[in-house]
Amino acid sequence: MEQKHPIISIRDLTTQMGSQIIHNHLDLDIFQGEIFGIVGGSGAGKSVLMSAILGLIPIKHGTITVLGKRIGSIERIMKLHLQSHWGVLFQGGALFSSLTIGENVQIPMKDMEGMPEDLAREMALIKLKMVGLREEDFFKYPSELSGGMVKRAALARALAVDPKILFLDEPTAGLDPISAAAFDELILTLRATLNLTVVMVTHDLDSIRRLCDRIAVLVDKHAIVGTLKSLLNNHHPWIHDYFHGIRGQIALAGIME
Amino acid sequence: MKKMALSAPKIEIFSQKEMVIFKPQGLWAAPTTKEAMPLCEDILTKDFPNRLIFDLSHLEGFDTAGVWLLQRTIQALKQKGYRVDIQNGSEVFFTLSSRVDADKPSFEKINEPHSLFAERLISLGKTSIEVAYLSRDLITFLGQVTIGIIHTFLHPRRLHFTSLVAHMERFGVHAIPIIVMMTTGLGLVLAYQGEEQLRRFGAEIYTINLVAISMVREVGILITAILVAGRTGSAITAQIGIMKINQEIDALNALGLSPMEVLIIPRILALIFVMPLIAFVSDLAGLLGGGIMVMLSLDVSPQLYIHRIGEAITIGGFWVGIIKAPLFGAIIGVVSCFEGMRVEGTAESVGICTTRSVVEGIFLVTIADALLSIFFVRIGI
Repeated sequence: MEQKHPIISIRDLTTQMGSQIIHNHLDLDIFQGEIFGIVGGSGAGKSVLMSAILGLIPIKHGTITVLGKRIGSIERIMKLHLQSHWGVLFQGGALFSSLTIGENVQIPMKDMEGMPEDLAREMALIKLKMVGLREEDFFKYPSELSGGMVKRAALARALAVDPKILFLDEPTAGLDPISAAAFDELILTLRATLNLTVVMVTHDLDSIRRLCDRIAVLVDKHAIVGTLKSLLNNHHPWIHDYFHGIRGQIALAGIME
Repeated sequence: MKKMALSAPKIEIFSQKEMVIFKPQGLWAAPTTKEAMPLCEDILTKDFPNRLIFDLSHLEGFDTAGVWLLQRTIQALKQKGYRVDIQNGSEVFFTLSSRVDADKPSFEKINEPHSLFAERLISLGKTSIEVAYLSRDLITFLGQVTIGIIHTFLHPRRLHFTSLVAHMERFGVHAIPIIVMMTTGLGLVLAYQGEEQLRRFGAEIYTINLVAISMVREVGILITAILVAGRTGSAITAQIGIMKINQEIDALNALGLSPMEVLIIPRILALIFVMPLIAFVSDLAGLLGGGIMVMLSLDVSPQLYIHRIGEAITIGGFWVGIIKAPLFGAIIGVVSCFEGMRVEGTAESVGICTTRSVVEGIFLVTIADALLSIFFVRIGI
């Protein structure tokens, strides 16, 4: 899957929250069409890294280039333009609570000038069904949905206009195993058909095994990148504990020898 | 699949004998549906021979939206009785198209659920029921608060004292600057306008009585209450509302702590205790403002001003003003906590409830003030 030009390229990134340094001179490349996992302990800066790529938090030092455009240095309008090329699933869903689910999913399409209204509505319905919601949910408000359903609706919104890059923050957390598996399959189909690049922060070892081409482990304010197999042989204590802990052994049985 | 190389969607139509071939070209994706949609609708309005073929070999790129657009067109043509085939579609196209097909909307359900008239009727009914429930809930809440307060007095140890003091500081001490500013200004204006009118009767010295009585009996406390409703009532509603959305109220309940005891009683008691104090400060500020104006324009000495005030205001008159303060505090507290507990789930609901809290608070305070005014005059204070 790897091609020469990375779709996201992070160089020498340093971020800071208050007085605490989260990432220290971190380098990372993500390539077109791959499914890239980001793992790390609580407070290791997974979500912060995602926010930095999305341009939501200021960067102290370094550069982030997405689709050939530098985040932070480009004009706000350019950033908006870029935003229609990516879809984001936030950890808590972040659906707009005063809009119905259907309206939420149509928001990225409204942003796209001139998309016919009928078509936008039908597309919203298709996306909702794609992520496993029912048509009746179209007119419901986020507060009327369960946690897992909110997550799916948020995914539908992230997928609304077939973005080039999909950012997922803990996509399968809060889903039952069956839905989580269906979610994995959906991502694989979309990748196969739309050549989607997926960046996902996750702790779900099953998802990592099923989906991720490469994985970045955030430890010691740096990123250690590798395939699942190569990371299994990594001797860093945290990485070793992560993949070779009891849960890791159960989930990854068969890959490990 | 490249969205970058934007070439506008087109459909070339080749008519052969007894069949028509459609060749969609260019990019069929969400950003270009604006151009693509009319092409498809155009096709649907025309008549063709029975056999139709969609040749996808010239399709440059597509996404789910584009695939769906083609698919719904083909579907509509089939429904009109044509025989439609797809040729030269890529494997990717068929994968995506079968995925979209599996999730395609069932057209019966996607229409708006109700007509506009029915919508209005439903909303009228809903509002009526809501108002009935609202009255019931407010009375229930008032009862709960009363029981809570009685309970607190019987078991003073259950009172969250730290919280009470913190709220008194936030609701009271921090409100003093704005209240002093407003009532001083009001005192100035009242004295200025009163003097203008009374001068015509040569009774300008009674400006002092006018300012003193209106400030101490009515205006001081009313302005305080309105300010507190706007400043503190809204804050209480928003805070409790957000706590409810964040499930903090549920967490309290689950931990065996009563939100009534932890959140509501301290706030209401803080308002009841603190209102007389700020009302007093507000009275003083009003008299100060009036005094400045009177001294400047009537050439009255400060000693004389204070002396005249002492004559104008009886002890009873002073208490008439101050006694209303705890009542107004209780009204604002109960209404704002009640509205805070009514917040449901959405950010919009926080806005609605906060607005309602302020409006209802001021409304009820004004009504209570009017009733008390009449009452006190009737009993001769």
